[in-house]
Amino acid sequence: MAPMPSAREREEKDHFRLTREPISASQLARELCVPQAGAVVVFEGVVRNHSSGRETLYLEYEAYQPMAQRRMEEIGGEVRAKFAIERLGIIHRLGRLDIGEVSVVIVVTAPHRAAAFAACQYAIDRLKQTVPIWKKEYFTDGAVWAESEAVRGAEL
Amino acid sequence: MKVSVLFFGPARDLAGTAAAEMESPPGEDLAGLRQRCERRFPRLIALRGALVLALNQELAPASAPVHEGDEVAFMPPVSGGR
Repeated sequence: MAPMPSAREREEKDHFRLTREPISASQLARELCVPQAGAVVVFEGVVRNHSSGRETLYLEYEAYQPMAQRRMEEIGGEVRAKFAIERLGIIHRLGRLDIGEVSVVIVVTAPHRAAAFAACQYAIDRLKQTVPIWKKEYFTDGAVWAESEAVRGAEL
Repeated sequence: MKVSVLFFGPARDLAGTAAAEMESPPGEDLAGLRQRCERRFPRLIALRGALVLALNQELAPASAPVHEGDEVAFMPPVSGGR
């Protein structure tokens, strides 16, 4: 029987990335699947066609890239400290996205489903709260930067 | 001393640029730098009370001193979906 991977080996196989290319959730899930995992939870955030009662045409995402990358990796550390998981992947897309396109994917693999679901929910909530990514919404009659849950917790 | 300032989201639109180099007097803190940015880019005043500053990629209080070569980011509340 193969030896169990150490915590460090597991962490090194986690996957955090910002990209301007379309994201494949199924490819990320395949990369993070391991024989010890009995559960794979995949979250896809998708561009919807309306916001605050207005019809959305498309979105643009921008990030403070080095800080966003670091914050995503820190979220990985928080997830590992809280939940019994095998692997975690977070990919966020930047640039222009049309309706129906995937803006963010989170994949968690774990021995059991409860930890995988909980870790995935935690990761997307933390991402929204703390990763410096901005979203501009374009409507038929103008554009606005999305107001947010904010860096409220970090108000200084 | 030179400090590099980055503007994101609505701050970039208001400043009309994504980045600027500021010449800071010795001993300046983030509050002082922000005020001088507001003088150079007056539309940034619209973000008063709705802005967090990062110093070298870490959130920092207004009292944090800046140093030669530092990178300061104007970070309006981060976008969130529901």
